[in-house]
Amino acid sequence: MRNRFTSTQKREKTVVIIAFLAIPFLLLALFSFYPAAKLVQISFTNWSGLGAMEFIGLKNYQELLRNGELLQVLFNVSAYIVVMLIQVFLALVLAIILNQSSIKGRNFFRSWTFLPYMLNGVAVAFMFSIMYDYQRGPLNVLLRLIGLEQCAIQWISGSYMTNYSLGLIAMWRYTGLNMVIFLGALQSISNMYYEAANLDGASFIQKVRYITLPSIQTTFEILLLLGFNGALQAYFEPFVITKGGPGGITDTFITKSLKYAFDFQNFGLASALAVMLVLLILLVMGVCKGILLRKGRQSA
Amino acid sequence: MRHKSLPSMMEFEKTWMKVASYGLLILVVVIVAVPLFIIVTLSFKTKTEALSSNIFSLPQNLLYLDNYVYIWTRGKLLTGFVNTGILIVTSLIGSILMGSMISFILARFSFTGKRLLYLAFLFPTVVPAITTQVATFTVVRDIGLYNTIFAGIVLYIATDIMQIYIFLQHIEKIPLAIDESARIDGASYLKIYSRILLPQMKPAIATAAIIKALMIYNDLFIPYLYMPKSSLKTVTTTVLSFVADRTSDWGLVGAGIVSVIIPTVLLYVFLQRYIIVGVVDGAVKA
Repeated sequence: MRNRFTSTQKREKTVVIIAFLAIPFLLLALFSFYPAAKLVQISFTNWSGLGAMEFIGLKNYQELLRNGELLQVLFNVSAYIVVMLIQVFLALVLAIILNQSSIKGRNFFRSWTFLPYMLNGVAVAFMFSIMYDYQRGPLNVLLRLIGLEQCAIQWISGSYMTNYSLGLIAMWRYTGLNMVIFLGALQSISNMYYEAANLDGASFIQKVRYITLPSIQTTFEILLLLGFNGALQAYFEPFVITKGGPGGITDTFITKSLKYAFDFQNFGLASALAVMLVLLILLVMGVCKGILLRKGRQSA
Repeated sequence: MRHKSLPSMMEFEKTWMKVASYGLLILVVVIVAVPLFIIVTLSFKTKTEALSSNIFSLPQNLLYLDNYVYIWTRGKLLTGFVNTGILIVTSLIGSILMGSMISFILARFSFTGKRLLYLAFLFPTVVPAITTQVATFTVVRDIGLYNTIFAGIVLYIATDIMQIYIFLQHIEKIPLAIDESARIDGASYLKIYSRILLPQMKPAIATAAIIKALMIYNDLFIPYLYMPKSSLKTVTTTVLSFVADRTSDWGLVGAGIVSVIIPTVLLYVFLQRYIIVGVVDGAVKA
């Protein structure tokens, strides 16, 4: 009697597991696993997007390495990484400031700083294409107003510096998000440590150095990981403002890969570039995970 | 995000630090506010006014609404809002159902292959959907979803499953004893899921819904790549194509930008507390 009861129960369990997981798993397989496998496959062919695929081995990868396109994209993306590092640092400084109860209007400052994160990326990109306009844009108008006529900058002229201008847009959008995340971590630090430090007569800088920073190290690493991945996958700003031009000088991995595929019908080359991006992302994640694991072992 | 009511033991002890801090904060507020101010003023300026007047000046006529009328009628912004709305509602329902079902199984059952399954669901986090677009595109095209709204719905549901992490953490906090006593009372697993777990998960569902809705509203690539037909344009792609053809008319560009950002700004004004907590949760966990 008891035996039959548990076996029907077991059957119900199996049915529930399969019924609940079948559709999600199918969707995931069709739109996530399969495309990833297909991406790798296409990267070894000269496929045009239609018709038959011809296997050409590592030729696409060789071409990307040889024609300097990969290097160009990496160089462009490095501008986003530099700006991202400044952004994380600025966010930390702002969070430390806003964590002090003696600062007035903390909620107001926090709300304002976070606001850009809420805004539509395409709208923000158009907004900055006006900000950066050479003739009439407010940035240069302001520079001329204070007598720095000769300092008026070609913000999006199409030199390499354009990548920094585009990176700054991302900074405008994400500093507030990073700050709020830091703030959450700061507020979970027990006041006990600071009290003890006060008794020892520690200065503000010493408290930041020896209590605050070590306590939020994990948050710091998560934000750097997110930042690196975000910079590697940047596309909104160049896609809307420069289309990656002129001559690929503002192309990122994503804009370049889409260009190969949909403008030049070279799905093979596009996939090879995308595979390289995935490998880079995995490398960054691996390094971060390695750091976290080593730290875990040390503290154990 | 709670602020401690106790005075923090972590305070500046020097006046110059405090002064510099306020200076920095005010600078940040100005940097955030000025572009928005300029865009709003531009949206009320005529084309010639936008060209000739000082960029920092207020519009001559605050009731000049032609730019808005033009972009909403000729630009078909309403269609964009309808399509975005459909995408958000359907994808949210799908995502929440799928995410909560997966989380329910992963959190409450033990079976062989569970660990492998867990890793499988981790996959989209490790290989972001945007990197595989070239291949995903051919899949969507081959199964006939290209240029249909289902392309967007299916991709939003299938390629972004960050809600699972939020749900899993939440379910773990719901005591197992509730499930067990329901089992003893003869409730089926389906009943436990729909009558006990789902209602308990409301806060986690709200968090995930906010993040995903924001993500879909702001997304560019899925509508751009998979739904280029003009009747399927979303808010983002409508503005992208309409404004990109008229970038010299700054009044119009301004009206386009303001129209697009108003909904999320309003959402932020009313639900700020939940949004910040939700977004932070989602960003750190996923």
